[in-house]
Amino acid sequence: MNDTEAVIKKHLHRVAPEANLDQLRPEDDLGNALDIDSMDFYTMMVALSEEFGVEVPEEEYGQLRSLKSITTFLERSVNRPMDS
Amino acid sequence: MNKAAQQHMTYRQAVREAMREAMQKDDRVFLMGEDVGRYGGCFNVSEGMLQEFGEDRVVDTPLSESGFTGCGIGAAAAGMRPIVEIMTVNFSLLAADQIINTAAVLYYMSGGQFNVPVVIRMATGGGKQLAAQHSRSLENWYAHIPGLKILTPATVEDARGMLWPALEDPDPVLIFENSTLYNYEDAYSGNGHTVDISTARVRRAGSDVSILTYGIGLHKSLKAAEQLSKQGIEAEVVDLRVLRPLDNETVFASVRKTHRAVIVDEGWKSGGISAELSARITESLFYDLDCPVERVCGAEVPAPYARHLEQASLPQPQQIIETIQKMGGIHG
Amino acid sequence: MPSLGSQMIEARLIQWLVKPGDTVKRGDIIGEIDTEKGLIDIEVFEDGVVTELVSEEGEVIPVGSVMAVIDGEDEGEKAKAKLASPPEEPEKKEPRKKREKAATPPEQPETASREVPLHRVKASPLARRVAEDLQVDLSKVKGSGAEGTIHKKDVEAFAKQKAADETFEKELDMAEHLSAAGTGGMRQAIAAAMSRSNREIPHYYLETEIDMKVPLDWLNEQNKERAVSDRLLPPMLLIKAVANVLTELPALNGFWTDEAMHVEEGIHIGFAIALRQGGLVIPAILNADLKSLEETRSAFVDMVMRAREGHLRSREISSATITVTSLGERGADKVYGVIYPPQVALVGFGKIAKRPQTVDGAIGIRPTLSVVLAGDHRASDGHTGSRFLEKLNEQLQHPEAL
Repeated sequence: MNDTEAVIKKHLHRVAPEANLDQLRPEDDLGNALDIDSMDFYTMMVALSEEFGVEVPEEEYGQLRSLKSITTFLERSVNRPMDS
Repeated sequence: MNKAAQQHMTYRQAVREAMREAMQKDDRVFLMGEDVGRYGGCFNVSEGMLQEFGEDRVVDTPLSESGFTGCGIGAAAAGMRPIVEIMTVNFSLLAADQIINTAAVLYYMSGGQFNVPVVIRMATGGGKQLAAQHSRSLENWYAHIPGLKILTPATVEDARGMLWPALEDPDPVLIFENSTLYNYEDAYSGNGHTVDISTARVRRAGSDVSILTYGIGLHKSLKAAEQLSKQGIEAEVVDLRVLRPLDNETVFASVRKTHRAVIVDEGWKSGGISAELSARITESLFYDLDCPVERVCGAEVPAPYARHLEQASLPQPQQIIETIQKMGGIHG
Repeated sequence: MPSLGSQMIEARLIQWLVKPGDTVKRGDIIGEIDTEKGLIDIEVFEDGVVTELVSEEGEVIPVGSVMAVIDGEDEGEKAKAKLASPPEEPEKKEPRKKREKAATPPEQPETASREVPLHRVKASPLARRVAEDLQVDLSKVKGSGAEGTIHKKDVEAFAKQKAADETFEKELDMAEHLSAAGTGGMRQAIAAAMSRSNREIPHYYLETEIDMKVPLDWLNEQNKERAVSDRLLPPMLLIKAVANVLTELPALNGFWTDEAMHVEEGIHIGFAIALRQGGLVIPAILNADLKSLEETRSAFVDMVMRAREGHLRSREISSATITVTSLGERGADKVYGVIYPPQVALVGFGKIAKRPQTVDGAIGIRPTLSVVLAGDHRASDGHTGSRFLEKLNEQLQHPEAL
């Protein structure tokens, strides 16, 4: 597990404290796997966006559904200048 | 007496049969009044009786209500059992002094020496286009007087059965026959039996409202009750039968059950029997009432001559229905 | 102890956030209580200085009792401001007045007349007698007769309702006692409210399918311009749309109490929020009709966050005039809700999903949303309900106007 994933899991734990994140597979749909709703997801994304200092464009937001897709997005965005 | 056993009888026949029977049973009984003999009575009630009983027992009198009523009272005091017929209550005013100042108080004034066992029959009520002077319902007034007994037969059975006990009563009894009832016909199989002259009767049982009425009002109230029943309102109809003394017990029992009272009286409200009943109910049953006592009475105007106006001035079933429908808490 | 709903009897004080000597302002959070609706922050309605904390942490306190004393700064005198819900404020002035009066010769008639209600109750004698037998307070009974006259049947109906309410309160009472055991109490409270609803409210359900393409497209456009933290989510649109419609159809906004509909002026949209530990809370977005969409958005985010953390405010938890429940993008297609008494309507939004839809005479695949209105048939009829759904659709098709 890389650092990005660990940070995501930290925030997931905050919105879903009772969920067992060890069993979460990278491709799992977070909503279904952890029973989190749009507000939980929103809360987590706001936190991630602040922590990583990245904006989440509208066209990406809807695509970010799994641990893997969020990790990929964050890593890609962090390595890219913000004002592109 | 095979006539009494017949299946149907008019109110007029019932009164006549009652008189015939009384005269057959008791020699002291005789009938006197204006036109009761040769003419057969102004409402044809005594038709044939002159022929049957002769001039001594069916006496045509001069047109002097005060005079012949006084004669009747005197005869009663002397031991006879006269039936005095006054054409209508309107003319009884001329005999009011005899009835109120003599008949009602003679027993008291004489220190118990004289009873006045007279029966005075008269027609009452409006509805026949006889105009203001001939359409009154003044039984209310007589019901005001201690010493008198006031009967208001509304059924064939009562018309037939009230006379004999009235004659047996040691005090003056006034019988008010609503003139629109003479042609009323009903099944009769009473075979001449008498009825009590002290109680009111529940003519139709109901749970939602008590209609207290007498005379012609009974028939209008029963009609209204049938209509109301179709709307889910069950009216109990109480026939007062006796306006003096009023049968509190029967009236109160009904109102205690239904918690609502409507009084239907062709007479006027002011100072009338409806006012008296309303007062008694409020005095005794205040905490049983679920809404104010209502009255459906004659309009406080001289009786109009025009038919539509006269009908409008008298209580009608529709008016009874509307009054009851508006009574508080009646539905549900 | 403030009342956070007509059914609340007591609550446990979890902690004080102030101590004697602290200065407090209207709106400050001064403590935290545990109710059947979860943890609630207590607001203070007076400016002043805390002089005494009467209740101890952990104590179960009946509604209406004094929890703390605050010295008011107003009028420069020692006015004892009871820490309680605003409706009780007028009471605090009474004793002061009476004390002033004591200096002048005693005026007994005036004191006595104060206890006589200004508006005399019109009740039939029988109704009064029955009320006495059934121990019914006539001033609370709504009369069915002319000029509101109370008749026997009104008293009997009221007594019947009261008995039902008492059963409900007993159930709730039981729930309160269980609340010490954690979320079990909330479960019991939900059980009591929903049982009552099912027992007393004749529900009717009306359902329609709303084409969400226009509102969602608009939402996406908006969100392109916004930071992730300012995102607009569909429920915000839905709440705002419901609030707008209610301004036109007030018959669905309010409470059924004492056998009658009481339309509320304020439109406070209760939003059902499921809690992860089980159960749900229904905090309200207060005066949602008067808020802009942006204000609705921030109120919504703030409220959901605090609901999850157990920091809802007393007013939010007790004021909803209607409930909205939205299943979001997952879950069931439709939700047939159970009205939260004494409210008279619940709007259930199902999952927004792509479904075949007739568009301009052809079948198209569109994001659609099923809306089910649950209405209390005592308070409104299907006609009103239908108009509600129609108008809701109109609102959503013009999101820019929300």
